[in-house]
Amino acid sequence: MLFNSLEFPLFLALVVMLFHLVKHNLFRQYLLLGASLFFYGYWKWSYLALLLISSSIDYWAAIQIRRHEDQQKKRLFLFLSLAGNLSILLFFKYGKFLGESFFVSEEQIPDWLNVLLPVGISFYTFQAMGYVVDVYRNRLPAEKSYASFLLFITFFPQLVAGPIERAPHLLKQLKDFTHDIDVKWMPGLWLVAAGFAKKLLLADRLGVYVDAAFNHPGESTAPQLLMATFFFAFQIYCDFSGYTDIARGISLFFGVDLMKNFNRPYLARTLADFWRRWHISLSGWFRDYVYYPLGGNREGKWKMHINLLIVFALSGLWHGANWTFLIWGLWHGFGLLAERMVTSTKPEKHPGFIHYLITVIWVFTGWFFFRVNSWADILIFKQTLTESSSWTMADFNLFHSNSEILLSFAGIGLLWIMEALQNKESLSGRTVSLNLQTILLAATLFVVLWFGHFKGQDFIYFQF
Amino acid sequence: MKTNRILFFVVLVVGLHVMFNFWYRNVLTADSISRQKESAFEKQKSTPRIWIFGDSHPMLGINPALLPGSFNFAGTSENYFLNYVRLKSLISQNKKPEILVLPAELHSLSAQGKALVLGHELDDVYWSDRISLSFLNEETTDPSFTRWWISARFFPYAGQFYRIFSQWKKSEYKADSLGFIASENNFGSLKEGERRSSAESRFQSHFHSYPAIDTFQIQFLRKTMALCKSEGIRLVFVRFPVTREYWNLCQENPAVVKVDSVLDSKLKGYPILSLRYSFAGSPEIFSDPDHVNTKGAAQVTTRIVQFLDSLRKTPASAQ
Repeated sequence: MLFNSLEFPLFLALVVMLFHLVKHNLFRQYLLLGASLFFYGYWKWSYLALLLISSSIDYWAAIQIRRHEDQQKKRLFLFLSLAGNLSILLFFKYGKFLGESFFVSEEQIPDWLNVLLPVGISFYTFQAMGYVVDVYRNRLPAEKSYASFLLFITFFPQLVAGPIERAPHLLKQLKDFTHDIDVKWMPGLWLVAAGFAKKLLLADRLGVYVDAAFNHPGESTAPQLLMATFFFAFQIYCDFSGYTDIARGISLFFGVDLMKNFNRPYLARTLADFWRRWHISLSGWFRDYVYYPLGGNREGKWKMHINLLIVFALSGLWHGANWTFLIWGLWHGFGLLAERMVTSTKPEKHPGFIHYLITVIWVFTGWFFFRVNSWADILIFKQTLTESSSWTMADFNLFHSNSEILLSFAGIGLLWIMEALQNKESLSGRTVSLNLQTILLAATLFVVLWFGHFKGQDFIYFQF
Repeated sequence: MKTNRILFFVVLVVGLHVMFNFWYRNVLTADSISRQKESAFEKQKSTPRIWIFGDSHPMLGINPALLPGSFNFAGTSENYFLNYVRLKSLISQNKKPEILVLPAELHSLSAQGKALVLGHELDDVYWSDRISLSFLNEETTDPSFTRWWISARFFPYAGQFYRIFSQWKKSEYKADSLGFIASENNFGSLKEGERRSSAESRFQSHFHSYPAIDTFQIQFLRKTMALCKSEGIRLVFVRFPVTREYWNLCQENPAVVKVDSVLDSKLKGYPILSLRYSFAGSPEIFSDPDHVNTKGAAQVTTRIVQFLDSLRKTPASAQ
């Protein structure tokens, strides 16, 4: 079920109403679990079985890890869990890609490799793997209640596109729905409204232009391509952070506080800073479960550089089975290495604004590789960019009406200004009365309704 | 959040919604082509004998003043699905014609037709008022139409901001008392390069990223044929004229040209008047690459009158 579908508000209203009508911890847990399974199964019921099988393996493996004292056996169950998760991920997400790499033509790929990618598979398998590793590392006890564990994996607001939560933070909250849970209605509604505004006012609007430019290589002009890349940077940010805002807002209706996944990433002054602000839950996951176990920065400069590149290559591939994602990951990996080398030698020579500009250009160029459909398209676009001679205004604007372009830029500008002002001391601490907040909330809702782009487009990160 | 604050929020949202809904339905889109034509049709003393349905081609191309007993219902982007909806709706009001004229164009089967409806690009208020949920359940299996219907019926203003600026109480077109919309533009006054680029732009708008043949449109073409047969209505198809520039682009595209043979097979046994290339050398009778202007409409209508006269000699039972 899509957050921006007609069915979702009805589904959510029903679940929230039942949740607050019956103030019983177990009832609430089972209600949310049932709702989450329905939410996921609504896409394709058969993939619910996959989700249940993979979760059951992790639940069982974690119990076994805690039950056994012998390190060898603990390691065996950890291996079984990780192997199970990674096999599922490898088959469903990378099977076709590997098939295409091994077989000469597309017709030779066996039918069983042409399976549809289950929604959110990378998110829930990573969340489950993180849990099992934490149990193995004695950071938390194995969850005894299967229902609580399943709810931790399937909690519907964050099931399909994160944030990738850690058990010590989320599981604890999902086990305790006592009478006096802290339901934050107003902050929750604001987050939901902000999320829908980002998705419907900006992301989906920009997506029309971006798709037109990137899906027709050879037809797009160089100016269109540059503008589409710029638009895509904001499309993906608004789409993904919009989803996270909605997920966090909805969770607050149940008294659940999900982690922050974005912190104004396009205001980052360095690439390292960008990665502390962008998809925070995934960056943290790779840091804790891949980078540190590889040795992190404890084993010398060169090893650290290699570890960094491995992490970014994996991070790129996490997004999907395509060479373009690998290029995107490595683009950021090499960018970070270069940044570390330069700033560690003469940091004073790089004033804030220049560094900011370089960071923005690097990140936005990276989005080009992320969005492009294939390696072959990169070559076509390279030709377009190098051979283009016409740069008139008309060359920019073919896929959108003038009012849409104007709205897109106005939205981007407003977003940038709002994020820049968010932490200004002169503004922080000012309180707005609840009545005014209610009116502003209603106004936001109608701005989204009038100016939104209602074509029912999926959230981009669902495919990952 | 206290209960009274939730109540305040709900009352505020519902109140604003009702206000916007009313404004959008009764002020902002009250002058749409469909509603102008329906209002003109209701003022007719007797039910016209010949009804003209279809998209902008018949809308601009047939002048009912030159075709006695006819009324032009056609409106921008109206496809076979919407033609069927209108015909069924009027028949349910005990109104029906003797002859129904429909276009048979290269873009008549394009998937763009469905996309425009589902994308809320047409007059949602008008069309959703003529479609019921039970109609959708009976006629389509596509759940996206139910979603379209719910949002069109209850939130018609959603995403329609541009209408505030572009359609404030006035429509781009004005229909006369018989539903005809006159266009005085002269495509022939453009330079050759301008004509070519204009044709490219029109061609792109019809076929760019849309498959030329959509089974959905074929399905509703068949339904219209069946309905006409059961009601004893004679169906006549017309291929409207296009300019040489537009026709050349069509011929370069095999997928587009193929539409004619598909349509011919579906329309077997039905009279088709093909005027597509009849006026290609006269750009001055066109308002743009694929629409005739008022002068062109007079010539096209004259040809249709002659065609219908010739059909009188042929029994309708052939259909």
